[in-house]
Amino acid sequence: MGIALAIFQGVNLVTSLVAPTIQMVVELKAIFDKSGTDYTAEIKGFQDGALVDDQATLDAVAAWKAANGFTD
Amino acid sequence: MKWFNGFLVVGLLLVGSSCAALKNSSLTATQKAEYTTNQNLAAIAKLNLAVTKDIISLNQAGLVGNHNATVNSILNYNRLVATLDSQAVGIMQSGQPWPTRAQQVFTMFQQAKMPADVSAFLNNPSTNKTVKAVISTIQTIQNTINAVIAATQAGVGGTN
Repeated sequence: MGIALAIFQGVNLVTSLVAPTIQMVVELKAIFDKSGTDYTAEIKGFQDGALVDDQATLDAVAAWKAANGFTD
Repeated sequence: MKWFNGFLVVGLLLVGSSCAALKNSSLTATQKAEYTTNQNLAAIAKLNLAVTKDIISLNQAGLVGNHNATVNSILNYNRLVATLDSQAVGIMQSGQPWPTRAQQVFTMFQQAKMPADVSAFLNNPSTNKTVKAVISTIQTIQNTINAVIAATQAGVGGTN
């Protein structure tokens, strides 16, 4: 009886360890998926910012040239 | 009347381009440096826009992950150049004396250094062809930045 109880407790312990591990994998996957999205968003943020700033530069130089009577 | 209108248009164009040439040729050394710097800032912006669009294409094609380190460096450089270039134009049009503006632009552009690892990827045979093209454009950007640095350095301590 003592042995059966020990096996039961052992299985119970392993099960209790495995279950959170699977849960952890799911959570880790969610974290990685989320960080992937963040990374993509970061790239997009960089690109959008660069596009806006570069266009602003081109517009500012074009305005300066027009105001000062320059042509290419 | 059509031929007359044609002559008129051509005549006006010739007068216009002569005025532009006259305007450009009658500049003082400071005005020339200022004009050249503005032109270079616009050239940097155009090249940097091309790099940004190439990165978008690379990202959409799923190639960003294959060259993660390079693309990260390119992204940072691309964003930095766009910011510095835009700020430099703001300084150029701030109305301060030319030596002051030259000093500010000179100091600021010295922050824009081409990432060391980017050159290494250009010489790597396994680097994607589009990534190589992007890196080549970045090298041209850096050369133009160096031209701005040289022009503004020459203006530091000069007269307005």
